[in-house]
Amino acid sequence: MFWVSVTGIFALRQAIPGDVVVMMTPPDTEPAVRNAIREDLGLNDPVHVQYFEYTTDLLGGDLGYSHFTSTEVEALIAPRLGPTVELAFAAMFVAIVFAIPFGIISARNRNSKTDLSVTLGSLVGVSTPNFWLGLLLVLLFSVWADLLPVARRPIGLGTGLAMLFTEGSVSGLVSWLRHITLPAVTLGTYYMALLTRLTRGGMLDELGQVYITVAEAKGLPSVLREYKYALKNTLIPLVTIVTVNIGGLLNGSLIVEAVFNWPGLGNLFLSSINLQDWPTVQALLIIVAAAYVGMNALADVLYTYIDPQVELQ
Amino acid sequence: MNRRKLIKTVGSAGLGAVLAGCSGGGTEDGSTGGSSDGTPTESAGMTATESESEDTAMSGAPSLGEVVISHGRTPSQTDPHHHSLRHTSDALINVYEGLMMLDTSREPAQLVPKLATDWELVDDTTFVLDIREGVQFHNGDTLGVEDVVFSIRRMADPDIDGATQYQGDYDAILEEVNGDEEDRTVTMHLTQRDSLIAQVVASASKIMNKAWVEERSREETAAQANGTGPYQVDRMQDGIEMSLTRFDDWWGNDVIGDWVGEPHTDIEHPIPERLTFSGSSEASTRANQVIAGDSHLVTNLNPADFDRVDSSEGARMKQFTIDRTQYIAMNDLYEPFDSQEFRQAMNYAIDSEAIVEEVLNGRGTAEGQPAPPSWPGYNPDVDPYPHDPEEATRLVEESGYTGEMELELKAAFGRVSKGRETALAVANQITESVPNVTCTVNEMSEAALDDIKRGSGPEDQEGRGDFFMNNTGGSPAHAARGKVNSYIYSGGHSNTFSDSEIDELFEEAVSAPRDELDEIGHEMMELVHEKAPWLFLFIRGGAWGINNEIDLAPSANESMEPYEIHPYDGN
Repeated sequence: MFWVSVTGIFALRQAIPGDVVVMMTPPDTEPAVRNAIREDLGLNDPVHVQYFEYTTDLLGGDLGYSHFTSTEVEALIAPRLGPTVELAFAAMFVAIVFAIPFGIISARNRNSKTDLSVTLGSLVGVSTPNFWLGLLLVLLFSVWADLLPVARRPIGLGTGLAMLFTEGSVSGLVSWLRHITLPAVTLGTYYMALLTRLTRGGMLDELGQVYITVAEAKGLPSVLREYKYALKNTLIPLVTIVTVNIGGLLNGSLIVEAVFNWPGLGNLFLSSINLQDWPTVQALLIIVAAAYVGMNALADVLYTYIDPQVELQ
Repeated sequence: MNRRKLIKTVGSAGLGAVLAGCSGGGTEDGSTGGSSDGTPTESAGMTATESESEDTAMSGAPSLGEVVISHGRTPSQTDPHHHSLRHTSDALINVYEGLMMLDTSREPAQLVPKLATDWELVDDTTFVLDIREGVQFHNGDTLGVEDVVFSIRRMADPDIDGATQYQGDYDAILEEVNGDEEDRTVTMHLTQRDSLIAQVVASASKIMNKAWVEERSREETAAQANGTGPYQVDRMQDGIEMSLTRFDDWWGNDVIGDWVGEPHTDIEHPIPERLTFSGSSEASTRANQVIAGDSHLVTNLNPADFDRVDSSEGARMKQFTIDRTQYIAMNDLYEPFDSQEFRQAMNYAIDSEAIVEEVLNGRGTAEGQPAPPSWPGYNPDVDPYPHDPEEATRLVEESGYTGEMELELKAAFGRVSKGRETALAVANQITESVPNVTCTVNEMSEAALDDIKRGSGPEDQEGRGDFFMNNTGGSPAHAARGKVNSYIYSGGHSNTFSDSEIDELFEEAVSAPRDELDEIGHEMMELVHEKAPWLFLFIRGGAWGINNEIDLAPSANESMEPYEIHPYDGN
């Protein structure tokens, strides 16, 4: 699957118009020089030869060279991974922390006003575009209330923790928290709404199962019935959604990172497309593919822990 | 140098050139280090206004603390010779200095000394510069003549670290450069007389430390910095932020009052202690940043945000004209653009003033010549073509192209604001103004448009497109040569036009004495207007949002010098 993606990415580059050598060279470069560069880059080789070299480099861990920044693509991507991972997990944390309680409350109070409110909230959350919500939150909490910063990430989580342990200062962590709050809420809102719906639906299904009725007949307390058994079974589809979507989030959220100037992979992807920095775009697409494949595999592994009926073969 | 290295270095310069600048690249358009938060109100130890620093290097006045500047893009690297993105230049101008500087805030624009104290064209082909003494690089080395010679050679010669964005500036004119350490002079031997050599050197002379560069790979010079400027790079993270701290041994501290001169004689404040350049690709985010005080200066705002910024308590707008010309090229090797009457008709068919008003919300100026008003030699008597559909129709008939025809305007919209709306407005106006012509817009990728803008290289006018929209900016130049040299002169690297009269006048301008150049510039602008190689559109306007903690005056090329930043006094 991963290799299919790599091949697709290679084919995409071949299909997109534009001569990379024209982009690489100053306007007054002589055609002979351009041709020499084309030759050296192997662009005059047959496509199957180019494909072989491309995949060989990839297997050797060589993602290419960004001519725009005079940097190896690996070096360009490395500092972006941290911010993207932070944002992905923070967003999912926001989503899970709110979604599961909301879903349970909603299920336990089926068809009540509380249930309707949670359902309506979930619908709005799923339907709200990220960019709009981000701008709205910035207007509310940054521009008008002046509570949180508009954008940027001056301090990373690692630096904040290092400051805490080496200097005993919490200012780094506080700064990080202040800067990540709005992007995490913006990005997490959609998943919060989605997981709330799934939790509610799953809980309702499980609470209607025979084993719950039997447990109730045997006098098992409702806390155990609902949280130890029903909720655990509800978590199985949630794990799929969470892990697969973390895979997506790890590729960087283009819109949220752009709105909040968050220096992650999504922002790099956007700027690389704008700058037609193809080696970087290709590398990021490969990371997208790898993240999806990796997180799907992780979801399979987690199934075996949550559901004993599932076994890895 | 091996081929791999050449490719890498050529690539970094060329791609930057494409994207940024001279041929219509990016108009839109590091890490903070040491700051606990990075915002002006929370930065470590200082804010833009509250830092009453003990540092009174220049005048004893209180210093600004950290000033955060947000462009659409982040500086891409630190090698001053191997990029041409404007936002990178805006940051690096504080780190690497040139020999002279064209000060466009003066009327007319004037060269002022920087690392060269004096310069003279001693005969037709010999240009001599006196190099300033007592200048230190950030690593403590003293600026020597050999550094200047090395830097010019590095810019001009692709065999030293690969082709640079400045190679084209020196290719045709520089035969040799050498220096005399005792006299502290550098002599440039030219292939022909060039009355604008000082201006060329001013825009292409970022001086690097020879020994420092030679000890480093290209990747290292792109990630580290060692200039002579008022700031040194504190931290640089590719595509994230570039953070600069003040270099206290900057030579300019001692002489800035004399050096800057009018109209900057009221400077009584030290430069800010720290400059942070950040990139926010979303214009609305930049507007929010300046309103909320997260950034002190944001550039390239959208018209939709003007009122919001201007009416906010914490910030205000500054609008001004910038040196970026938007036009549509009409390649005279292709029908019907081989007819001067037809090209003129296209200019009469459109209403460029209405486009500026309706599409750009007044953020620009309709023009009828390639040079922007701030350039010497600009001809104030050349007005934009008036919108006159009857004249357009008459000229099309006179051109002989009377049959039904379809024109396809090729354009890409990723790099300029309101590009799509502009192209559609032009196409509609042509279709409505000229009965036998239907104009449609062919939206292309930036890469595909780059291909047709450039062809296979110089001398390939046929390989370039017939009818495409472009914009061009770049360093301040002279109307007699700037833009004409690249796009309209038959020897230009991206020319879509060849005309013997223009070529003759251009060649005259190259060797004309400086005092005759303005007159030639006027004549050139009049001639180009009449020949109509372009469908002239407008000069774009700039829009800055400035937080009320600081003040500075925008310049036509949108660059900013740190000594111009000072606390805002409400006026």
